[in-house]
Amino acid sequence: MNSRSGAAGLRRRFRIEWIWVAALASAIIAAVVLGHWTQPADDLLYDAAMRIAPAEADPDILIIAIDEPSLATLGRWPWPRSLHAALLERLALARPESVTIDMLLSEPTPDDSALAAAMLRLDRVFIPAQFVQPGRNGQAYDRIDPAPALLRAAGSVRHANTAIDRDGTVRSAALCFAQDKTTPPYPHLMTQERRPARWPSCQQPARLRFAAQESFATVSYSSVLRGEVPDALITGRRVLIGMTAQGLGDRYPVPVSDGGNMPGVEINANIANALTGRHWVRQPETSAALLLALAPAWLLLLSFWRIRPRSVNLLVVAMAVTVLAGSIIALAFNLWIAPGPALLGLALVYPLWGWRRLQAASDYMAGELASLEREEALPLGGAGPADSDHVTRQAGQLADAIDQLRDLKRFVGDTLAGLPDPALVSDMAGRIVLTNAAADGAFGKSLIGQDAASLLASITVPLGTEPLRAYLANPGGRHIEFEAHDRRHFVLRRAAIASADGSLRGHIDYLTDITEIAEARAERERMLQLLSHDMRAPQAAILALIGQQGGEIDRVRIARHARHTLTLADNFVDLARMQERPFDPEPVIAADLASEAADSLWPIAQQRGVQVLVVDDSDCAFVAAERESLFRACVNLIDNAVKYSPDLGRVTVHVDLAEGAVQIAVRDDGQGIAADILPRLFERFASARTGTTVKGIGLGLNYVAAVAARHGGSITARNRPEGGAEFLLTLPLDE
Amino acid sequence: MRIAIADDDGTSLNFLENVVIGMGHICAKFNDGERLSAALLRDTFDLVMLDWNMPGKTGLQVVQWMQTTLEAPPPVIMLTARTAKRDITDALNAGADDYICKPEEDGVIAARIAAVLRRTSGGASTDKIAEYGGYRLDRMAQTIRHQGAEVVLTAKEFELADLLFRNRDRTLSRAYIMETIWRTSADLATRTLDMHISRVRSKLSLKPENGYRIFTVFGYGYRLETIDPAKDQAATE
Repeated sequence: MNSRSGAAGLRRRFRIEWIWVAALASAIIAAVVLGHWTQPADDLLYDAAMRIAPAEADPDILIIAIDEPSLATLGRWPWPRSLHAALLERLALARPESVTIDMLLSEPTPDDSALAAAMLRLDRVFIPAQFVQPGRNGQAYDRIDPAPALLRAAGSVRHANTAIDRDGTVRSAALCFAQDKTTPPYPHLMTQERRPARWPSCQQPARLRFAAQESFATVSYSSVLRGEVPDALITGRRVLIGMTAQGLGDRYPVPVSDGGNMPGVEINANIANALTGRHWVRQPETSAALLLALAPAWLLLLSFWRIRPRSVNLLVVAMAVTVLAGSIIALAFNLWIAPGPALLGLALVYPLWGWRRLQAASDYMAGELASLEREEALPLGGAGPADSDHVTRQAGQLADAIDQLRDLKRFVGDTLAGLPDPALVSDMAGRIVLTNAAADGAFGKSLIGQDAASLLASITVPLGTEPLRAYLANPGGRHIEFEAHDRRHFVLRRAAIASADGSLRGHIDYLTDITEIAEARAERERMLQLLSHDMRAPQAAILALIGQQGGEIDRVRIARHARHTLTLADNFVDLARMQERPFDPEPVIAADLASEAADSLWPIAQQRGVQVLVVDDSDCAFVAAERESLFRACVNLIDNAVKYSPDLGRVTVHVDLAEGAVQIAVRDDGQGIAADILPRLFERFASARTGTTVKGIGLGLNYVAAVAARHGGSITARNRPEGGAEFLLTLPLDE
Repeated sequence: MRIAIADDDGTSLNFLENVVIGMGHICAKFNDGERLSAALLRDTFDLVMLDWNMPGKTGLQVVQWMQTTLEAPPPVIMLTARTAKRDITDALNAGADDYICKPEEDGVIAARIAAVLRRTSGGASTDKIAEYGGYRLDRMAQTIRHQGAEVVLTAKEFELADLLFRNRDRTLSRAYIMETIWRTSADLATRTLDMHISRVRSKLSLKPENGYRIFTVFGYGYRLETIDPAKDQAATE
């Protein structure tokens, strides 16, 4: 499984889940706002806030209460309308600003004319009409007007409907009322001449701020009738006449401090108070209310992308507090923003998102673990204890997977460290991020962070830098060979590290030390040189001698060429054989061996009159020797000396003891060894010594060097001051 | 002289050994033909006495094998209970030098051995004075003169030089030399032999210039080679 595309999938999933949560929460909040689902709860808050800050009562409002003392004085209700007429007569004397009779005076009675006359005298008297629901003949309402005489005296129809909320509490007033859509609305009883500002919005109940219970000036009906109330108390005031006695008239609960029910007349007094004192509580329009309810929820939703889950907790609490405080503060400025939908939104969004996010993360984790197990063959162990929940089990599996990845990483690290050749792992920028012990050993410590290409270029010989850089820039599955400063040869392979989706992550540079192979290759070149030239040349010479026209065939020269080739072949084969054979020495007398070697060369030496003299000063010293190879080495040395000696020359083989070793010194009186050849004399296929007519080949001396090394000895060569070359073969004594 | 005896019958083997030792020779005993063949490859004998019926290889097979494999096969005396004329002719035709029908008296056997040895080793061993090129050996005085000058040798060195000269151009195994000179079959003296060879070589100046060279046959023994200048010229040119 590709972790990066997996992460992208997870992000996509989160986005989709977020959109779902946002859409669902928004829909629910909108429904709550439009359906006023949280109104009961909001109203509780509203009522509590109202009780803290009641409105001030207008001192110009006077309530004439039909209270218990009045009933006691004037007899049981209903009273004759003549009594009301008498009251109005009395009030007319005091000249009040207006009089509102908060009673239904519907059926005509004989006293109506007197009352109507009194009303006319007062001029500004308001009486309500009654609206009965449901109406007859399929109408929504039936209007029950006051008695005709009274209606005439009052002049206009007004309603006194009380706007009761669903919980039975009165918080607002409807400033006009339309019986149906066709007829114009009737103004509220208390609006008097002040027409409602806007129609039809006046139909909507408008919330008002109530004054505290019994804060309006109130006088008893009977007291006024008896003239016990001074005129000054009435003059210029707006007088409301209504029932306050218990069990008489309508009473409703209102949001004021001492609770209880408020008589209808006092509610109307409050409406009048609100109208004059502007004690209205505005509410936002539906669209604004929606916006205000959605805002906190969206703020929270957006914060999910930015803020860590723990901080989101605090944010939710802070936003809830802010919403509540905002509602209360707004109420102080006569604006009521119901906090319910916003709080509900917050309460909804947070767990909803938490749930969906957990689900998405869990699904992702399950999918990733399953694919990891399937594709990477990581056995993820058991599903954890059966009593733990799903997420806990997944977490357990995740822990197992992480453990295994750690193991895998260690495994990879160990594998890299265990590689015998240097390996460098570099990132996209070309910087080394991982090395192994071989690399540290080859290029020094603290490679991490260095530029891989520059490092490799720095160890290359100048000639190889450009091709190396070109290769590193475009490896393309090939490899490159280069030579380092220390004459070691490397094969460099650069492999791209690609992630599962194919994108480049970095490079591995693997170096193989092919110094030995390169040397073997060079030696093979030299061997081919030997075969192609040194072995062919004598054969060609023989053929030339045989093909000579006239005269006798020069047997001597042919034999010499043939022997030369034979020696070369023998040395070549012996050298190859010796390298494969284990060293198995036996005691051999060095001087005896040297003598026999010299004896075997006698025919050749004798031909050219060269005398080979073996001098033994070693007193039959034994060396631990491989007889055959050491014999051949001695033969090679003496043969060489004979070859480079002048005719009738002398070769001395001096066997001596020196520092616990046997020394075999082979001296000739030839022209010595050329200075440029001397250092490379014992290398394989070294070229011939100069200044002689005889062509020699280096294989013989190389063989001697190999034999000396095999016996734990050494071979050196020098030019003697008195002329001629000296080869000194040193071999350890046999104990 | 060093004589190899091969017989699968222990009694017969011991009887023959007593005869040989009684004659003053050295004896090497073998139980079967295979072991004898192996020994013949890496050792030198002056005479081989073969029983016809042996496990591994019969006497006749060993004789035939010796003739085809060995460079210089030693003389062979066949010893067997077979008396058929055909068997005798087969053995002699295969390469045996003599044929003894068992049982036979020890005196007769000794005489037959002496006769074969006399025929094959030329009888020079008994000469008092022998000359080989520039070397003159006096066996009585146990001295050697080279180019007229006397070379001082120890008794063993003289014996070794005498052995080499008498068997010149014949490869002698180390065991043969040691048993002949030192009368021992234990090879404790391997260095001793090397040192004696080395001393004889240097004291007598046995080198090609003087017509002789001691040649070490690796893994086997030594050979004193006579150098024929004319022949050498031909071989090397």
